[in-house]
Amino acid sequence: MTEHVILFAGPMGAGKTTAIESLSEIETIRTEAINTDRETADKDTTTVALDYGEITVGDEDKVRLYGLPGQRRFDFMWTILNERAVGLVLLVNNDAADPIKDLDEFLEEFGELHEKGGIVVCVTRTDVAPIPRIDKYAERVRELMPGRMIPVFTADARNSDQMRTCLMSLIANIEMTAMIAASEERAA
Amino acid sequence: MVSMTKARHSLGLVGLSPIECAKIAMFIETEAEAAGCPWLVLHSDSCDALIVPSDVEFTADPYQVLIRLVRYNGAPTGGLAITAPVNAPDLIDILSQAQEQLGKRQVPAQAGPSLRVKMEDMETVPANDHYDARSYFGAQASHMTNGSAALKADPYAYASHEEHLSSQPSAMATPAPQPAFQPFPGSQASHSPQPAHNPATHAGHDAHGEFCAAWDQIAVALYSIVQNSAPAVAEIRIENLDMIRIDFRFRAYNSRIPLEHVSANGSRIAIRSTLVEAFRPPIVNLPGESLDKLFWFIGSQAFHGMGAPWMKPEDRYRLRRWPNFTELNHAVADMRAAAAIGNCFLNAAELSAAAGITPEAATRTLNAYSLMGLLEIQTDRTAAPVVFAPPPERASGGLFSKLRSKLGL
Ligand SMILES: Nc1nc2c(ncn2[C@@H]2O[C@H](COP(=O)(O)OP(=O)(O)OP(=O)(O)O)[C@@H](O)[C@H]2O)c(=O)[nH]1
Ligand SMILES: [Mg+2]
Repeated sequence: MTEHVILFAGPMGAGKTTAIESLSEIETIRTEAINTDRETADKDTTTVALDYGEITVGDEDKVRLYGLPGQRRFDFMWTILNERAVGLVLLVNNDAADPIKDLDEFLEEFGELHEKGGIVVCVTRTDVAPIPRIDKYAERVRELMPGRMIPVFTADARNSDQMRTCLMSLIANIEMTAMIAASEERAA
Repeated sequence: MVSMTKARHSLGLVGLSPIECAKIAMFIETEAEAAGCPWLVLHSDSCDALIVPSDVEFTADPYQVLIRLVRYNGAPTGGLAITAPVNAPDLIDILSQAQEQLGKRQVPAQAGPSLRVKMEDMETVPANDHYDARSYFGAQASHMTNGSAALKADPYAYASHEEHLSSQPSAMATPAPQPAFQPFPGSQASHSPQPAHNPATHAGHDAHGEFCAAWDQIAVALYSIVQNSAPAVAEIRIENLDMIRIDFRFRAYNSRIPLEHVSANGSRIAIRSTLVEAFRPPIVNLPGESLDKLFWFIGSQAFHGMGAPWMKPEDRYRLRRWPNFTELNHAVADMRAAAAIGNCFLNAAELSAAAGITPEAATRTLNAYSLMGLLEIQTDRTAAPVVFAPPPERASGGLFSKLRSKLGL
């Protein structure tokens, strides 16, 4: 069985737990606690350890979806999972105080995942806050990671179709980059 | 090969007063209504022919025919000229001379409208670098002014069809908001270059020849407006009804009915565009729908699966950013295509091979991306092409393909 670990990262309230629920085939494992930081995200609970969901494909492949806690005091979880991951779904909620700064921080933290596989950026809650527009994110990604092609989408974490589009695009990009690298290696 | 739009030329009005522009647009529309006037009037300086006042310093590109407007007391000029105040017979006369000159220039065999767009000859240039009209707020090109594109099909191209596309001689001089315009809530679906499950809905087939030709012309007009980069609004009218409204400043549009139900089939169709000042209220109900959705739809419908007239088959293209697929009606194959062309420069044939799609689908994809302003161009023909290994058929064992079947996509 080949396992493919995909991480879901992003600030508090970006929709990581929700996104995994939208994608997972199994009842997701959640570690929620009462949210005491209502200022950052106005919701009842927040993830304290991690979320887990999975999609099994035949009896050969398992896609493991891990959601990281958005709150910084749980940072230690990030390092452990980072090592096993091949892809990152970076969620940023557009209604945050400074979502582009959030993007910066998380790309800095997880940017290397692009080299191990790939990254996709999903901008959530654009229905709540229509700006900044998606081109701003795409521009910033290009500045921070020049020469790499990272898909940027708007997505509602509650919408399974949209989350599948994000996940499939991530995998398409990972496979295509691997294929190109292989061809270049053979050509060299 | 049927070339539905072969006799179309674009006419750019540069440095003229709004009244002069309105008059010229009106004359041409009237002519289009009565006879087969093959001119498309645009407020762009990248057109086949240009009318420029004789006292304005201006150098046309070699492919362009320059017509000088000689105002009162102005000295006559060599070459083609027309005197102010412009009247209809003079204008039509000078345009037929211009058409003759263009005809003699014998464009290398290429289908589609003969609108061309200036491109810098650098190794990699953005295909559409003045794309975001918003960032050009206030930077209005002062020599540009209102234009209108009266669409009239080439009567010869339509010889077998009774109905012709024709223009609407009405004015959209002031883009004042019309609150009466209430678009129906559009369906989420727009069109995708990849016929996912239902190839029958994939447009561009001969049975819908007129339908496609209309989109061809709309695509050319929109491309030209976008290239112009000045804040503009546009309106696509079908049977006297403003069907689609576009505000380029906000990259938004409203459509009365879902795009795929918009039938430009043999009906009276006109597109008008007007420059607006940044501070004017939007002509669409914001937030509206994303312009990319409209461009994706039109770009993939138009040109019968052949390259758009502004694309060169020898050039290679790469994505500057991914399209926002969650707001476009897309097939999974579109994601693979985006992944391929997102990571290296490809032409249509190479894209087709890399993504495992038909050459026609690859061409439609390129047309759509280009209209959306997503492509950068590699003009260096000597660059080695990327050879994909293993071939895409073999790659079907990848996680992407497995998930695709698993999720029933
Ligand atoms: N309106 C709207 N709500 C959304 C959208 N995406 C997600 N949400 C909601 O936003 C909230 C996001 O919460 P979570 O999924 O718990 O966010 P999280 O990233 O797991 O947050 P932490 O675990 O606290 O770090 C949920 O209530 C979602 O239903 C969207 O696009 N629009
Ligand atoms: Mg959570």
